[in-house]
Amino acid sequence: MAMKLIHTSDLHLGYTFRVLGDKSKLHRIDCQNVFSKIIDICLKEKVNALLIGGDLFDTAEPQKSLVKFVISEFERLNKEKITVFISSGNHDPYKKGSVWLEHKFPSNVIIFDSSDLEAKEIDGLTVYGLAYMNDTKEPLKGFKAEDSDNFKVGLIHGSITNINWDEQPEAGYRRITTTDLDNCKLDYVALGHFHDILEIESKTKCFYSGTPEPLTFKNKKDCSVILASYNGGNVTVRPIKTNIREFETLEIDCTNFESDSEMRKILEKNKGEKKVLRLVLKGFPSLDFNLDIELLLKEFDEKYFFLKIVDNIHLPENLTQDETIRGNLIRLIKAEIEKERDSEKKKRLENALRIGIGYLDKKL
Amino acid sequence: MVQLIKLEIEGFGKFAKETPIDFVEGLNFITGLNEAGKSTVLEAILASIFKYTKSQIEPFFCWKNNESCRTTLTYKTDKAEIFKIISDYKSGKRRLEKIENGRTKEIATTDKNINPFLKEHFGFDDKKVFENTVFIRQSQIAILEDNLVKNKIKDMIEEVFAGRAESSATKALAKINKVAKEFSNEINSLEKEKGELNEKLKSVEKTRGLVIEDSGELEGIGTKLAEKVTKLENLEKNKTLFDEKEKLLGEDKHLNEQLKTVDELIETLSEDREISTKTTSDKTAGIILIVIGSLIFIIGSLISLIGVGAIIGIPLIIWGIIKLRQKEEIQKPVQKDNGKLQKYSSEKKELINKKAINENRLEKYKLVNFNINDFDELETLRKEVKLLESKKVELRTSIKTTTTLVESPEEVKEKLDVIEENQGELKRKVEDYKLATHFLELAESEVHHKFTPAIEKNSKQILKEITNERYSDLKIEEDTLDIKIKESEGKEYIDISYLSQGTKDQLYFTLRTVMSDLLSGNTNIPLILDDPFHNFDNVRLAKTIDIIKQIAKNKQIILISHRPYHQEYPNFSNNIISL
Repeated sequence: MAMKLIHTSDLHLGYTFRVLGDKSKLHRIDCQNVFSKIIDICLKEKVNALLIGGDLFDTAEPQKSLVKFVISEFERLNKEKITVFISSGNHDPYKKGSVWLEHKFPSNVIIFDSSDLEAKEIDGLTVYGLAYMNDTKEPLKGFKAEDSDNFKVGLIHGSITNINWDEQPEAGYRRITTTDLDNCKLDYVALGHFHDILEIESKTKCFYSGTPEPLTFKNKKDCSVILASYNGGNVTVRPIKTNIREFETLEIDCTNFESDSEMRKILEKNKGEKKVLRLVLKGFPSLDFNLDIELLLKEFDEKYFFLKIVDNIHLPENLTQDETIRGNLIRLIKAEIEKERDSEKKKRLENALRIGIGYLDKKL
Repeated sequence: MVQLIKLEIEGFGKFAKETPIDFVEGLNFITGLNEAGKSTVLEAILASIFKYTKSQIEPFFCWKNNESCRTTLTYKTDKAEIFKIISDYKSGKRRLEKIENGRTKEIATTDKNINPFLKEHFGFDDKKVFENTVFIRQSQIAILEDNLVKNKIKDMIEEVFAGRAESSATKALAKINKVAKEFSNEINSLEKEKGELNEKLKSVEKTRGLVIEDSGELEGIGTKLAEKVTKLENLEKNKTLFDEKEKLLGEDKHLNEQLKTVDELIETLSEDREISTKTTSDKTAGIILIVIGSLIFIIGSLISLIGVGAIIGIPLIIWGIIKLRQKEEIQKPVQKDNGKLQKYSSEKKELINKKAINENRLEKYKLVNFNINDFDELETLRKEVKLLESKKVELRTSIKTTTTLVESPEEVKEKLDVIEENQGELKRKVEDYKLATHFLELAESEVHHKFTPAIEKNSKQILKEITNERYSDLKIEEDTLDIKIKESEGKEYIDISYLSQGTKDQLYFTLRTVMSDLLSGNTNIPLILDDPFHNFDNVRLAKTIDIIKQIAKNKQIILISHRPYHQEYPNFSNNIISL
């Protein structure tokens, strides 16, 4: 029996994007819009089910209005008889007072409520999922799906042990080993928790869908949901791009920059209303290079959804040190920098030198 | 005495072919028409001493000579050593050579190794600082003529000290402080905004509380309302049933009445029938009487008792006939009554039927009861429900309005976070600016402290020479750089603002000479005069030429001008270079 599923996770609805400052609220709305977009995709692709692998909400107790929104979106699937399976995540665990227990979800929404893998079946589809309950269990340990002609799918919020979790501080729990994955006899394992789309190398077809809308600069530029199609034992997957904003980090070596016109060129080249750009300035530009970050941000405010410029530039070597006040200023601050151990304070002194020279040279 | 000996240029600016320019001790005068390449010579000197970036050197590539762009500068250091700096701008290669006893020795070939030598020999490693110290340009002299500028000489000292044209530590500090203050003001206004937001947060939290309270109340009302509505509904239902029962009872009553009427009617009709039935029996009796009478008469006749038979039989027959005749008379009305009776009977039947159905229906309502208390309760409940419903609507609208109009505490908190972050950023900036101020003040006071006594000391001799001993002493205030000079004959130090233009010029060149030597690291560095006397009238020019000649006794001077001074002033220069 042919079947189609949409697999998503880690929407973190309600998240406060501290890094986006005053654009946080707008991006929160973006995430909701992406959620609606996923529902649209489900309807358009006429899928049998929507799988949500945890962290749909950023907290277990999201705002009522947000829950209402999600419920109304689920209702749209309910009308078309599309089932939603939810395995909760570490951000929205299944516990007393949580959204899962406090709100009545439409009849098409199946929320896993056991901390052990549990099978829920609809026509020709068996989904093995579990609720997140602050546990450290290894959800797939020793698990083997029962033989059947159904499309057998796992839906788990957890950490595959063989990938690099450096960027993810919460990687330690809900471990899933590749051995367990290899032996689980599932047709497809839909994972949540890791924020980028990622195929896990295993005998079992297994993916992290990643977040459908970037949450931080660590996320890939493009985010998607996974459309998994089943045709009698054969599973094919296709990512469908969902993100509204494009998060990007650009590192620029400013060593040979003589003025901020080079910066303007870069910012002009990369602009885009959907862009969330973090421009990290590096290198050792001369003291002639004086950039006014605020001015640049103001100038390019309209051309980006959000722009952040990180100043990581340092002083060039062999700074002139003559007998003038200018030379003496360089000498004094350089001596101070050499004495200073704290890198943050070093940078402060470097900034002070650039300011002093900037005003002496009348470049500021 | 640092002295430029020779400059060889090739493929540099105007100089396509290799052109040697020799310099001597004392005053070197480079002259030529506009565009002859006078400035190019200065650029070539600067390009030799200071590494030009690609964008700096490219304008000097010669279109007539694509092959090369080279300069070689031979110079003597303060320690009387002779060096040669060879620069190839196309390849970017440089070479420093030392010439000792007619032999050439390679000293350094990389910028990294060459630059420290040049810094040592010329005192500067920054081209702009060098220019600002050892170049005297028309634009700098112009300040002396500007009547709007009060402390012209002082500004010049500050400018040379600062290391950048038209700059000064004082001006820079003022600007830095101004900007820092602007940041501080911004921080304060953000603080105010934060205060307002905190107030707002309190109020929205209160509103949130109220909304929660209202929601609670709404929920309470909802439950209460639901209870009451159920009760009311039950009562209403009961009432409807009761009404129906009443209706049925009424109907029953009515039916009973109807039945009674029909019964009465039937009863009346039955009496009439009895009569007619009686008459019917009369008929039979009549017939019997006739038969008997006839029989008696016949028998009497037969037994020849005809008289007796007649006496008995005939009356009997007559009676019988009467009876029969009577019967016919009654027969008619009875027939009529039978039809009515039938109608009534069926009516009655129908009524009974109806009654039975009604009673059957009523059976269902047997338990239905609705007393006066029930009526009262119904009324009360109706009122209560109406009240609760309006209250519910009211609450719901109020909640809706507050939630849509008022920001959520989370939103306000987020705004506060943003402001706090901005504030943090600004605070860091203010710190940076304060640091800059601190070090710039320190750098300034150190330089003032280090050089003002030396300037004072070194200027006296030159001033004496230039002014033909008219002025013998000067004083410079270390902090303010205020200058006063003393006439040889006089006792008082005079503020320089009272000096004549001529004396100011003399003082200017004196100070510039002294400062360039001091700032170049106590070397006797050449002075380069880039056509500074452009606007001078003849009297002032003559006087200035004297100053220059005086200075050139102890210092190499390279003067550039399109004006042929050498023709106007004999013995003007040791070396005239005409381009």
